[in-house]
Amino acid sequence: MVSRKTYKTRGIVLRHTPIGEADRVLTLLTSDLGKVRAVARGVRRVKSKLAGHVEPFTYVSVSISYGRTLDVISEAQTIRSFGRLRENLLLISEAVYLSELADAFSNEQEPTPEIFHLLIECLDALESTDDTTRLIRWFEIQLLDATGFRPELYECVECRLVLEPGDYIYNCSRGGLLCNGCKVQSVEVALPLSINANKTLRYYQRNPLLNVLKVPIPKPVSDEIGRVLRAYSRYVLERELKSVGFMDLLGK
Amino acid sequence: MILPSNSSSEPVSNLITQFHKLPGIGPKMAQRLTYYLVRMPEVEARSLAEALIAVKDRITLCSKCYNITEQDPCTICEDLSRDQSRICVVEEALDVVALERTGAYKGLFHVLHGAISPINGIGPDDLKLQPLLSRINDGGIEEIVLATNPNMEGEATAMYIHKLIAPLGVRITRPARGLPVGADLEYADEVTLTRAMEARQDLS
Repeated sequence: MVSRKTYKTRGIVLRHTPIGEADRVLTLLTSDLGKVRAVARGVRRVKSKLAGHVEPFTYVSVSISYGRTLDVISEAQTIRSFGRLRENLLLISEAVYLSELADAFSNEQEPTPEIFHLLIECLDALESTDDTTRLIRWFEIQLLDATGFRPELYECVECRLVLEPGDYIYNCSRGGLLCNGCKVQSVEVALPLSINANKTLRYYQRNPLLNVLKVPIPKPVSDEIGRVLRAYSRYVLERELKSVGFMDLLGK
Repeated sequence: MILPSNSSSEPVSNLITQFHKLPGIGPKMAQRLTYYLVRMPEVEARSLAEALIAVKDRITLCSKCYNITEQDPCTICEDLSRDQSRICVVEEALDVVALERTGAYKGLFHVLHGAISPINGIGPDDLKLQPLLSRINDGGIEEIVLATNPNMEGEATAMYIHKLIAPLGVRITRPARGLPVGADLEYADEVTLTRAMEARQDLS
């Protein structure tokens, strides 16, 4: 027997999936409980009192009762709706991408406050910044950091030689750069990383978002680090994220 | 698929498998329905079977509005008493039914058969958008009502369509968002309340 019948937590709605007549299964990212999946009953009905509080990327305070297979949301109150994100198509696609990444990198019953705070910070900044690309790159690299997949950008991942400034090769399976000597022997698929892109990545790895948003970067460099981070995330997750296609379609 | 099929007869277990494929029907329910049908009078069972076949044989999608229909074009598209200059864009055929029930809208429809849902990998190409564009391009359309669902997916779809058809110079509207009849104000969420306050109307 469970001693408590309900529990309370706060989380960001990462996704919702329709189930049954008018219900949805929500995936919430919380600070204290990791990822939580629970049913929101009747939210597809017009008169649902929950519906407006459990839309994707809403930061919500919920009270959840234990259920047999899935827990059930009994109350929900919006803490922050991030309403501005829903008013712009590109912002929607980017917020969905951030949510999907956070979803992919977190687990149920495994608290990851770092991911939670990172997502809140980035959704908040997404509402107010003009250059969302830098924000997304920063989120990607910080997320890799928080989940233990920090890209090695200072030493060769093969021979541990400290890298002199220059153009290198990024190896996804090793999670870092290869020096010029080692890259010759490497047979795995790898991506080129120019000196400027490497500097940018190092900067993003070590600086808060506020600093990152102050420094403009040229589009080719931004595209380059985007390619590397995305390929590396894909390698780590062993799949392509579904929201990437739509975001790219709008970004063109 | 693993089913609790302790039945020896193949037609029975086959029917259980078929029922199990339907949404919301689990293995137990599939079994119960099957055994109910076995005991059902033959006439009723036959009419059920015929109804199933009729749905597949006679129902198609309207070539103009993509609503489900028995005749093509559908009765709504054929009805010349309706306002031919307005198209109401909805996600599903069931939304047409809901809007028709109100009797408040007398124009034409266009069924998208889905909504843009980036997280499920459903993009604009998966919707019936090109036919909508052709209908507008054919001329005679003055207003497009974007009646997609007021959730994130529906909003994204409405914004995408808006961007797509804005250059075509038709009036683009969206149904108002506000408080549902019979509900309590205290349970309304901020977004709905804000929109309801913005669009308040004079009492006359």
